[in-house]
Amino acid sequence: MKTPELFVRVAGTLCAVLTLGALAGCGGDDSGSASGDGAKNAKTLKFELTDEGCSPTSATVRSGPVKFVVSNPGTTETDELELKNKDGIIMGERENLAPGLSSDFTLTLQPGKYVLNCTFQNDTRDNGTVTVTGAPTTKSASASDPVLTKAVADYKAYVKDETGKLVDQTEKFVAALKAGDTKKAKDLFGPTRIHYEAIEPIAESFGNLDPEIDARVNDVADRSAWTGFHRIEQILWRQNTTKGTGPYADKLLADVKTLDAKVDRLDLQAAQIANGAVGLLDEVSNSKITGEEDRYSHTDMSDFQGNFTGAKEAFETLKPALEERGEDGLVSDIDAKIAEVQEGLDRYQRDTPLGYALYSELTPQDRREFAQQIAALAEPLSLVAGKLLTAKG
Amino acid sequence: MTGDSSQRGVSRRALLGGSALGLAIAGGAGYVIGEAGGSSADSSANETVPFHGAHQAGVATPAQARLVFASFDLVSDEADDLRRLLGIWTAGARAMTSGRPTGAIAANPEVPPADTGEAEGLPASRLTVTVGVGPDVFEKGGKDRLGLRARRPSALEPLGPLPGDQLDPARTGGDLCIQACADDPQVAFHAVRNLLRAGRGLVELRWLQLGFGSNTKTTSDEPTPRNLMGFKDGTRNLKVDDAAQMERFVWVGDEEPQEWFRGGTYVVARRIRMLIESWDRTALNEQERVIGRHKVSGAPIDQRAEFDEPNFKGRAIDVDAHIRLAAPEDNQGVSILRRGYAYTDGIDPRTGLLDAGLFFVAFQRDPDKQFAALQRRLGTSDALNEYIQHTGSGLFAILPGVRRGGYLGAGLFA
Repeated sequence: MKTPELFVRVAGTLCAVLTLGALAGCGGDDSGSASGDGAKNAKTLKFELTDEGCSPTSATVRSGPVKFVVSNPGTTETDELELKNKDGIIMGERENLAPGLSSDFTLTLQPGKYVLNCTFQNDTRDNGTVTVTGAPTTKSASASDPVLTKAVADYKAYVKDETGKLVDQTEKFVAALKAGDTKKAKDLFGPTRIHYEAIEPIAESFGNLDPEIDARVNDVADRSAWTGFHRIEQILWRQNTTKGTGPYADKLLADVKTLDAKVDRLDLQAAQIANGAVGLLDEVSNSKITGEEDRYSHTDMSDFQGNFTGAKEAFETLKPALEERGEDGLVSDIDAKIAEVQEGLDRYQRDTPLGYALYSELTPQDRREFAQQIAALAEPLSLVAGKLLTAKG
Repeated sequence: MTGDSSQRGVSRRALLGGSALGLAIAGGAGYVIGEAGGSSADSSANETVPFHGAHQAGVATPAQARLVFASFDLVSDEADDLRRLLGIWTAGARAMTSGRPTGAIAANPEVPPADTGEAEGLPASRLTVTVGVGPDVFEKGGKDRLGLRARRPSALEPLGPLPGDQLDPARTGGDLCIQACADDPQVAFHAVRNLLRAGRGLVELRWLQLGFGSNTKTTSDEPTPRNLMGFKDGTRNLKVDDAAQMERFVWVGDEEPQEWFRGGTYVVARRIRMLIESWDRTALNEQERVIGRHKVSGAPIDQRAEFDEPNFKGRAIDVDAHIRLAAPEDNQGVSILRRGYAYTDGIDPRTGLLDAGLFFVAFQRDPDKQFAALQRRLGTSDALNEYIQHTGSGLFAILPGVRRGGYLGAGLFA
């Protein structure tokens, strides 16, 4: 488990984000390639870099997506173009344009005056203006995009499917506890949790539900109030008995049923799904790979698979929206990295009730390799939300 | 060297949009507009060290106060991935050394900030970022790993075992290195952190060392700093402002058949742990005998002043004193540019003793003929060996400087 603030906060700020959609195109662009999105409908402004600065020095364009094509004809040391708003904030830029090189970026511009700055090194002279006319653009990225709407619906269906399985499995787990069948309860522990781990960020968005289901002993302020999977895990493995698990079993079942009911009313945005996927990978690197999650049962590798599957499924639902926005490169990069991690995890599959090796079998070398692979995957995945907020062309 | 070409008054801008990383791989055109280093030792926080030049900055740059040295392993065996990485690193280094973030910090609430932000509001602090490639990039296990074997810098051979080695594999080797130096440790750390992040998926961090005090004199006019043994270090070091000596001992020149590598150099980084507790209970006269200098004045044994020439003909300086065995006079004139920093990694958990010493960084034209030749001698005979252990090691070919509009290592792929 982890503290729920992040997911909740993200939900709260999303509307503000959407109205700032114009900024999405200028932040964190990292490819140097044309921004494929928006470019189809975009009006194009072309600028050349010269010793005097930008050529032409002024341009007028109607509000909406605007594609800036910047080229260096090869006679000047000027190698950078910046577009700033009236507050001097850089909205978009292209730099390191060596002679002969051309590049572009696309922004959704609101009406107003913008400053152009074609520079060499740290020269900050402003030397051009762009005037944007027309009405403010109000188009939000997702409201009108059926592909995003479908992504959200698909992911909600996945979540519901997982919480349904979680309830079914928890019923069996609780039945074994009540029957005093320690071995069976132990066998069911990991296969039950895996459905929780797959959708953990969703549970985290419902206040206390996550800590009540999934707190570890060091997460709680008052140990007498500690409940959930890990409370039961401690009794099962430390004391090798089901005795004393009754009240915790009842509460666990009630809590997962509450979770299952709450996800029906889940209000999700596509960007949250993307950030939730990153959150799942953070879970893997911070508690599963370190063996801190299931410290009595050592079933961490199964939880790892749960978190990882959840991230993978979230990404799958978003793929069509990314492809629609011309982000094929990002998609194939993430796909390749997902495959690498899964390949590594497959080596830890076992023909046991858990289905995975115990944490103690994880070699230090593989632990490090997993951590590096997860980091390499999470970095591009963290860019997905921003791409989704860019209106498609 | 073109004299003082550093700039003042450039501070880190609050860049709220846009990104500097990326778009790095451009054509090879462009002109050298300034050379790193050679500036006066007068260091104001706002000073920047030019990124572009015939040589990379951070070698002939008067030593800054702090160091972060990181070694990386390449994840892929594709030359194009290395090229892409070096392009990304070039753009990031160029931005950060001029006091700018690597990208937008607050452009979009829904995505992670492109630049991590801890250097926001801090001046450039003479940051330099120096990038090198290790022997395994060109050949690993006898294989032409990236198809670049034919481009290997001529003197980039693995160091091989040296006397005095007690190397920890977790602190040794690596395919690439980044040396980030700055007068503010947070600025140096920010540089390595953001380049690591930008290179995710292409490289993995292998080891990382912080240095907290420049421990070696590198210019003619600065006072000689002291290392953690309490002795002045670098009195007879090469000086970065002596262009002739730099050409003779440090910069790879026209003799190099790999044309692309001319203007480069080689760095040897050694984590030299000092057995601090043992040293501290060693009598003053024994400490001075081991080093060959007087502790307070820094004068050679039997001389009055720090810069007096040591008398190696007499017996006053012990036969196995450190300054005798390390002296060019005793090593066929061999010299290296040392640019080391004090380090500590807290305590040795096995013993509770301090884990501290010298993170030795040396630049030279030929690591085997220079550093290794010296170490073969020192490692067997140096009186200092009783108080030190070489616990980590890295050898990297420092890429030639970057032309404006170009990128690090461009010649490697031309």
